[in-house]
Amino acid sequence: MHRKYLFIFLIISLFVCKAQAALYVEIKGGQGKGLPIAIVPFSVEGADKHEIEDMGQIIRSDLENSGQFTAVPFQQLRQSPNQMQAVQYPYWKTLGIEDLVIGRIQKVSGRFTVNFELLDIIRHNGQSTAAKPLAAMQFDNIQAQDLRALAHHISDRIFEKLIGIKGIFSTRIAYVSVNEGSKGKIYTLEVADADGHNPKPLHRSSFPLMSPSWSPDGKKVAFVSFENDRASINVVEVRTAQVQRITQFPGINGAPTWSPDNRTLAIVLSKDGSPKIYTIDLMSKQLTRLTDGTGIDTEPSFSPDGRSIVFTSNRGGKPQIYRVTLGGGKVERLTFLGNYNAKPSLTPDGKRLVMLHRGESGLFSIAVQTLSSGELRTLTQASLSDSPSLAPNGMMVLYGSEEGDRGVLGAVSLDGRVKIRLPSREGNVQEPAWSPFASS
Amino acid sequence: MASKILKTMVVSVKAIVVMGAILGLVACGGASKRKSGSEVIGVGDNVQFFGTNLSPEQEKELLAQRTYYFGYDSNEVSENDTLSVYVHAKRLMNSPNMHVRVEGHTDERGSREYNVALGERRANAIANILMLKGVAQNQISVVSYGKEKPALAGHDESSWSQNRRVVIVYEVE
Repeated sequence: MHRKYLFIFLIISLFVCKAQAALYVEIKGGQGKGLPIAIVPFSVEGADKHEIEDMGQIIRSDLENSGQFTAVPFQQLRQSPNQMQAVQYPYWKTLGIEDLVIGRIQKVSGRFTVNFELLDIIRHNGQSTAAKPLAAMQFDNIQAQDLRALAHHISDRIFEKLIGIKGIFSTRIAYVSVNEGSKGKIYTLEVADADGHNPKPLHRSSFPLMSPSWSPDGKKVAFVSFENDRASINVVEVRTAQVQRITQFPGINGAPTWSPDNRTLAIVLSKDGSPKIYTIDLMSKQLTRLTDGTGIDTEPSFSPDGRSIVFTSNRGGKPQIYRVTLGGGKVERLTFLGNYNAKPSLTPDGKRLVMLHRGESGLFSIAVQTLSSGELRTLTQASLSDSPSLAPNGMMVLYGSEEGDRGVLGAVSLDGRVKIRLPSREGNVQEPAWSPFASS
Repeated sequence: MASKILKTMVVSVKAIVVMGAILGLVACGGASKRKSGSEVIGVGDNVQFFGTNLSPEQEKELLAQRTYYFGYDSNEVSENDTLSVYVHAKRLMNSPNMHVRVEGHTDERGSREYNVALGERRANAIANILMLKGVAQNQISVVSYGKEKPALAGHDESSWSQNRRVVIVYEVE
């Protein structure tokens, strides 16, 4: 167990050195109930394998970190076939795996050609080696710097083939990093690959930055800034880092999230008294107020069909989750367990609610509630979690957490099977937001 | 005619007394031990209005306080703090060109945007006292940082109690 942990850590550390990532991944807990799979390190022809990304290892980490697979560690493999003809099925059957991934990388005049095959081990008769693969693909003319992205793409293909749901390995995350500068704290809105690699700063400020939220087309991130001690809602284009101001009313300008059609932001303004939920049309800038009353209404999030918004409100005394329909304005309470439920979002099927929850233990945890039954399940036990953000396939939740005196990111699968930590090399990271599939 | 004026006066005195009862009650707790009684009547007299006869040294000391602490999940201004807020109100009324930023803050527990809302309630509690004492709205701006700018970084009540605060910042003085 310890050896396995150390091995994963070492391998990932190697990548970090290569990619100079701000975040790194550690598996914090898992129950090993995932689909058993083996990935053979990809063979490399025409190039030094230490000079290019270890695609096999990236795929292995992706699948393992998803919580849906248990991947055999490389050092336990006694065979390393890279061609289908070389696969000795009896050996792979003894490992108890269901599927096997093999692959090849060839350097051809400066570019790379990559092949992979996904093989069904458990249903193979054990005799013939001429079995048809579950998936087989070839990618030509790949540049060295794109091999990592290609590995994530292959992970997505394998995931979708075996689990039946789209993979999230090619998605990205946005988050706020906080570092001590010479004149106080520096806040940076960053985007990175879903595994923390390739971080890119989008916006920097000596004032706090908050509440990043991806547009559904993956091209923009909305966020809150406090430039000159005034709250404002802004949208930054991911490709150009160009920032556009959306609102700067007196009082709160907060919690922006996008409508599924990219056209509208749900936001929170307190210009007329208590913080209330509004929508703003991004073209016409027209504001529509959705909630009333003297209580706090905040943290709006659109339902996947775009017809209603879930939000946090203390109208009943303590913060709980409510839903308002966009046309009629009818408000309905969704949570009844615990004395603090906040930062809601709905799973892509609209059937479950992910949120920050405080139960009788007094701890803040990430929780998921099934709307039809009201059944609530806590996924984390840390004392200081916040900012849950759902993966676009609804299978993982990213969140912010504290470890010692550092803000770190965590991820947990919605079935609770796997917990991952993404701490920063230095400084704090907080408020993760998971991108949609169509990330730019 | 005379009775009508008298009636109007009575009504306005009543209104002042009611307002004073609402706003001043808090003050009475702390301030009344020094001097109580006629403060709600003497609207024309600044010193009287602010609840007590303060020496310049006392006023200076009260003006030096810029940070006010709050209980968990509470936006109730402590009785011990109201006299200081009154003296800031007096200063702002006497100097209409001055401008303050009233900053609300919370401890680190709970969701970030909900904490922004809680911090604004605290900042508004202080800003409302300033305005009800007569400070012009355009002399005050309110901002809530929620839990984004803690005064102390610790993860226990000793830090949390220092982070649940409102700070009056003079932007122009």
